[in-house]
Amino acid sequence: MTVGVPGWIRANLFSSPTDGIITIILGFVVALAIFQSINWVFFTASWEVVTSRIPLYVIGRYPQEFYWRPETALLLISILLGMAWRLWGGIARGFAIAIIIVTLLAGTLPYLGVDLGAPRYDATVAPDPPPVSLREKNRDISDAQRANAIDQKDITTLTGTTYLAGTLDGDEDRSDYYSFTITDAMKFKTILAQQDANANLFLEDVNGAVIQSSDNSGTSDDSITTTIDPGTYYIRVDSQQTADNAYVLSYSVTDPPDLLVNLLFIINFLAVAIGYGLATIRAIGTFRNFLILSLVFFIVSAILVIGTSYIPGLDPVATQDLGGLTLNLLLAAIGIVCSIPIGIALALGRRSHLPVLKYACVVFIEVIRGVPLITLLFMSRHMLPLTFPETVSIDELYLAMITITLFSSAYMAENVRGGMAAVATGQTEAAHALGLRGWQTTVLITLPQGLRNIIPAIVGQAISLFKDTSLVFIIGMLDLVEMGRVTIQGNLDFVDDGHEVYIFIAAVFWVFTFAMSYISRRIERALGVGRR
Amino acid sequence: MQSILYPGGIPLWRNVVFIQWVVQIISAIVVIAIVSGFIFNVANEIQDREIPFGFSFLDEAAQIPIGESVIQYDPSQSYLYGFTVAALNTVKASVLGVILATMLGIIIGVSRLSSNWLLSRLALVYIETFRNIPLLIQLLFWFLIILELPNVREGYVFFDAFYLNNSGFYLPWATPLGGFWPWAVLTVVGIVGAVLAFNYLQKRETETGQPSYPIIAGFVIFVVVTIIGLIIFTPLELVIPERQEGPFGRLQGGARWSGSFFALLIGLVVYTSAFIAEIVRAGIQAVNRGQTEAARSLGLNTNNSLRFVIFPQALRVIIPPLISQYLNLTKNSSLAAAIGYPDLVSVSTTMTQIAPAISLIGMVMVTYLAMSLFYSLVGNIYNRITRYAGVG
Amino acid sequence: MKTKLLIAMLAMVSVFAVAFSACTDDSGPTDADLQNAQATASAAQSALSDANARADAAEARADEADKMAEDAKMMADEAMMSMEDTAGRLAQVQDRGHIICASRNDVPGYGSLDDAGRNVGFDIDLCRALATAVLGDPEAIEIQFITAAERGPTIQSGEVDMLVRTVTWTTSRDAQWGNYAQTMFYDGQGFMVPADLGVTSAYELGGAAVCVTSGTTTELNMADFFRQNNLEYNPNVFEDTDVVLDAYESGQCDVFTNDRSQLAALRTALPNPDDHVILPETISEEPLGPVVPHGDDQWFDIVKTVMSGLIYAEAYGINSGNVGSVAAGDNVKAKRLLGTEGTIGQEALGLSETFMQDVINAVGNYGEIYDRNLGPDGIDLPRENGRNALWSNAPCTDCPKGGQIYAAPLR
Repeated sequence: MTVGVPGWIRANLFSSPTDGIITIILGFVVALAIFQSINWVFFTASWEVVTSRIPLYVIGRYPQEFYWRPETALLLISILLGMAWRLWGGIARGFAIAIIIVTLLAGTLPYLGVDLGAPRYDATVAPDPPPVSLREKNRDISDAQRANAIDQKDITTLTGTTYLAGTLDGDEDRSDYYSFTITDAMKFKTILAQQDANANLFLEDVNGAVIQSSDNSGTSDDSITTTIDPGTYYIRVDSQQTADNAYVLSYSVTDPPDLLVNLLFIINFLAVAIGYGLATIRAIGTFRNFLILSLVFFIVSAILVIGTSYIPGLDPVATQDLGGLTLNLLLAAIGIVCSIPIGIALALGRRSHLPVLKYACVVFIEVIRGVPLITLLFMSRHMLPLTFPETVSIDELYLAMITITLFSSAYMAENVRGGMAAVATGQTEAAHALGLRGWQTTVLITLPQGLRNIIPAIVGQAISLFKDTSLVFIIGMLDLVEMGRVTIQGNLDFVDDGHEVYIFIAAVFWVFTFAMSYISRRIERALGVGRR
Repeated sequence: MQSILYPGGIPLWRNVVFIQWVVQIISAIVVIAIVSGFIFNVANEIQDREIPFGFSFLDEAAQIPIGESVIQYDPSQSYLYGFTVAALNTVKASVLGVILATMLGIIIGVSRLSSNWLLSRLALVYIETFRNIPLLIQLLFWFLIILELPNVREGYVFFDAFYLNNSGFYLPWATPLGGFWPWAVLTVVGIVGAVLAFNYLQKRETETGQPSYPIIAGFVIFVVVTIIGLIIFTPLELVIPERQEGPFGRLQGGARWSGSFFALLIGLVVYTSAFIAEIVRAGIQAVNRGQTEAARSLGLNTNNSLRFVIFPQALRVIIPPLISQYLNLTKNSSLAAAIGYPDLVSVSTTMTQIAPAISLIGMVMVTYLAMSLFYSLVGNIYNRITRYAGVG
Repeated sequence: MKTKLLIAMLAMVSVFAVAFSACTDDSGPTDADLQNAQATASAAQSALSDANARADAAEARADEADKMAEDAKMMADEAMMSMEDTAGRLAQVQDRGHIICASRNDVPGYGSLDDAGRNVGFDIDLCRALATAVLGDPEAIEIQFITAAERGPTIQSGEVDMLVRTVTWTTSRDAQWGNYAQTMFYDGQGFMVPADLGVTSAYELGGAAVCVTSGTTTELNMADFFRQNNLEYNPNVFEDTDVVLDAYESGQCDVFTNDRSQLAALRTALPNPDDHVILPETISEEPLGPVVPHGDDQWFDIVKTVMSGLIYAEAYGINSGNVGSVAAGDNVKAKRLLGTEGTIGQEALGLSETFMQDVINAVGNYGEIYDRNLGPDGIDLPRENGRNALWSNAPCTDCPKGGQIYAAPLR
């Protein structure tokens, strides 16, 4: 038998003529697919539809002043990841490192001139006609919070008023001015693009002193990014040519980077380190403690993100403002965690010998499993409120949680039932022989073994549930998929960029579900399935 | 019976029969209270708030467009008929989807265990890709791929009878004539005969070891009977799609399997087959390795040991989760509205323009439930048949 | 064995307990409150008649009796008012502190999200106007996003205060869903086709594959049109506009049908707008406007008045820039609208005297709302000489006229 690369190839790819043909055909197809995808991703696609709205995709319309709450929740999760790294290594280490990299990037990029926040004002203006219709645009920049959206005209801000008529026509008028005013310290960015010939860009204060300039040669884009104090400023576009020179100027204003928000991202690696450190302490670093800690952190995180009126300083966030990927993760986690006890109860009920209880559980399980989640959500939005008095209103978020939990618990019940059925009969008999009562046998013998059997199934269910949470758009919530959909549908600029958004969403979902299915396979292997 | 612990007879609170009864009654009361409370409250509120709810609209003319249908449809027909048309569309997609997904899933699942490294890796990539991306996005993806085909005026034509373009696949289709029913009866007879012959020959093959070609024989019987029927009764008339006059180049006659339908079918099949492949793999791996070795030592080749020894045993593990995948596929077909296939949810949404939404969604739920229960029933029957004899 | 069952049952009960505890009592009025109020009212009334009787009987004690009567009357008034309040949506809204509107987020110009995730659009601004009128704050709104199929149930159950989701006013919807307050936008359905097909009229569309978005009257109108004119066609119904555009651009559908305003806007989003023509025929009437739940006349009237106010503000030349000076000026009609002279019925409706000043300050007049969302700053639909200009002899000087935007006069 040959060894080395040729040997491996022969053994694994060309062991027989049929094998060889299969390999060649598949190889060709794979190469073509990879080439096409790279070509599209890097050269054809326009990603602005994604990059301009990153915060919306991640956390929806969550109020900016509360950003520290989900970030703290992320710190808690990082602690768990750090512990997992120490306890199991392998894939957990990969996740921990990934999260450190992502958070470090998220925390530092705003200081390196990369916008991660949505620009509060972003327009592309050509010198003729005058840049913007003011009133509507003004309000976008001035308000420090989204709360005041409309009656802001008294706080005048970015206005493209001083606009020198005529194009950059070489002989006399070789500069165009745009003036604007801001009332808060802001991060300002302007780009000069699509020039016919070389033109340069200047940012000047009200007295005409140059604050920053960009003088790239030729027709390459010029850009200025800087943080400026309140005041009036001018953007000056200077033509370097005596010929006519058309151009497109775009500018945007964002809040300057928020120190607290970014700091909480940057210190994330510390949380991982703390988790790792905790796990090295023998008394703490056990699987059992990890589970308990996970549950505690999960509850704390959920309360942090959703908020509650019972704890001062943690005001509840409006349901409409909770969204993006965070909502998908939150709903899936709550659905899985809460459905485990209910699922166990239903499964026990279904195994019972008492007909009323048994058939009630059977009907519940089969009905919930038999209808699409969309219709369940529809009914929960429009029928469930009818079962309460008119004065009681249930928040959509809780409707979603209840429905998803009930939906998941029907599947969970079947998983539990299957797991318990797989426990050998000898176990029950042995328990009886030891003098355990019926309930003791169930609680101490059958159930724990059954639950151990179904851990992979629970992870599998978590994957489906995570994907299914994208249906909460039915009750008016803006999860990741719906946010993408809304971005495309609601903007004439983006209505033709659907593919980019959907590819992006698919990639995000894939990363999370692949991670989960990897975990599931590891557990399966640890339990010895297929290795008897 | 005299108990040692309780010489005075078993007290009521330790009497198993009594406690079971109490629990039964309490649970019955709880269930009835919840259900009746729900119904009562809802009925009350519907009346109080004057929410239109009822089914009288079902006889009225639906007046809505439905793009494609298994049976003839016209907007002047009733809501109930329109609903049936939509339900049949869902059934069509889900039944075809179930069959194809099972076939593809088995192929991928077996490939996953193949000794060809590239093949098994690709099977893994296939599974991990398609299982982990939301179906809606996959459906849109396949739909866009179908749109890449040339349009109906510029599409491919084969033999002047088959047309392939981005609005669908047009093919000659038979419409029933007078002789249809006698022919159908004869065909059924042919099928029964074919099955009987297959069973007999299969049995002889396993008993005697002589190759008896059961599949071929069954097929031949079926084909011969059907063709004889066609000659005697002339039950069907073949209609060939033809291009209409006018700027749009519409194709008329024959059958049209629309692009949306293909996108839906491909999406459902690809998505579900990834799950089925994993189930098949797990099922095959669950069969004791000694079985393979024993089969080999009996002289069966890989193919036959898989077919006669491993697969029948694996099936027992595979079937229950497989059935629940069928359920999922059926329910997932409700995403069809996104790519323009007129399924149950899509058509009902259109109907809510005028008809009461709550009634319609209720009907949709009941229809899906019926389909799901059907699959569950099939699964349970299969489980009962294949249960290990004597193992409790 | 049996305890196992008990555990199971306990778990089930606890599930429902959790479910029930998850609901929040929004401290709205209850039946008990109502009964209390009624009791107080009748007590006060009897006290009133009592006092009157005693006043008649003894002149000497008249002063005292008068005082008592006055007190009793005040009590009665108060009680009656609180009774009225408990019944009305206005009180509910004031209690709640914000208005709930059912709307959408996926149609440019009418309702969408901007880059920061804020609700913007024509429909949203109408909701803001109402919130300003009732609560004085344009931000006191909660926008619930609903799908097409949910419009009926949402407004029927009264869970929202107003439905503004490009809902076409039709008679059966008016009968079954809720009350249409005022038409704020006139639309009509049209067809868009690629220019190279050479089609010039909707009546030449026989044999076409027609694409449409689901959940709108558009579908029904399309079916009617083709059936009425005996034209064969293939209907393709999609949920989302971007998918329809994909199908249309690829040639899977020959025709895209939608409200003309949407067609005009979407045409500009296509790579080569000039390659597509919108056919001249308009096959339907699509009056769009806010809907309120059945059964509360006061609320219905409030919404109608606010909408009228927006329209007349434009007609009288009042905009967000000059509202202060007009209120102090000498235009009698304008002053009546702004509450500085005379009344347009604010008191009877339970609104503040100068509510329209707040509204115009916050969201502007009809024309400003239009321009911001549907006009030059929005999706750029021309209003000049269109149906959505003001009526022909509107009093303003430089506003677009010759259209159908008209409302109940303010007096």
